Amino acid sequence: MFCIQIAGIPIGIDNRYPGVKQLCRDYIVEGPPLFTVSVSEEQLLREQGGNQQFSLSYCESLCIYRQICLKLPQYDAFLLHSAVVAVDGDAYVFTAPSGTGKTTHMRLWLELFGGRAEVVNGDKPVFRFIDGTLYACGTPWQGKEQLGSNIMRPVRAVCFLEQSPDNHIRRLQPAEISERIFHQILIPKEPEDFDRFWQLLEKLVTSVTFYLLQCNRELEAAQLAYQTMRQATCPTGGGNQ
Amino acid sequence: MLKTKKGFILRKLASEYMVVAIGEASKSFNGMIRMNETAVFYWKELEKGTTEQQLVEKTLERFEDVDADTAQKDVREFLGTISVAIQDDAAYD
Repeated sequence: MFCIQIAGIPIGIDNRYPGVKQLCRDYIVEGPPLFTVSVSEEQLLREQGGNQQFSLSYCESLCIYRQICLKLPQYDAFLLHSAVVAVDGDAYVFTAPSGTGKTTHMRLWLELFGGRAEVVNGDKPVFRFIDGTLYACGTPWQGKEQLGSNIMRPVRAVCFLEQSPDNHIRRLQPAEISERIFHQILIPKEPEDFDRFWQLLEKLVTSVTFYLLQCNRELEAAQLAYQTMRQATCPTGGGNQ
Repeated sequence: MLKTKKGFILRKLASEYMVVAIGEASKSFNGMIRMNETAVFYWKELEKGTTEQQLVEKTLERFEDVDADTAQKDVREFLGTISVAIQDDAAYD
């Protein structure tokens, strides 16, 4: 049993295997936790699904993170499958189905901005509304490349990615956002959690600026994305809260 | 009588309506069904409980320029797209 802090929320983890504690080493705090998660042997075996390629320790880590994420809406926080890079302290969020090239695109930003850029999380960041501002937050779960750090940055804009030979970017309307975002979120299915989550989703879709970037793997794609997305107004209405 | 299944709920996100499954129902259906304005109207009737014939009649009342054949076709098509979320409860007929 140990306690970590994600998005400012202290969370207890009652683990069976040492792997998850090792994974969480940069996030460990004293506690006390606001809630605690644990996984039964039965859940672990179900997660493994008879595939010995995945160790039970790895399966435990996945189960624990899913349980954490399903609880987060109670604290105005949620998981959005995405890659987040911060430039000059503001977070830029790229979301797309696995294999589209989120990490590849994020690496272009790192190349373009050097020391001005930092990876918040390469795959499974947590987002949290605090006093009306949406923050992208580092978590120990950050994808197979293990890109990310224990930081929180205010979100400037969110961008869906699609592969394309040429680079185009445009703003998305709420109707276009709602049909795309469902594939990138983990929806709590218990009625109370669901209602809470839905309010957050509504707030996300209506208060944050969304774009669609159709792009190739050239640096020009990152330049176009940055120059467009940086003009988005923060959901704070100027970041002066 | 046709009714919406327990656990299937109508929700609005920004300006868009959709039906999603929660609780037990989410174990058998893990997606969402997008709904236009007419679909929302049908859904609200189904929440109360209705029949295919009643839905056709309501359609004719609501849209004066729609003929009976078109209404029948629209209703049947709609019921097809949301079949996963409704049940035919013969006990209440």
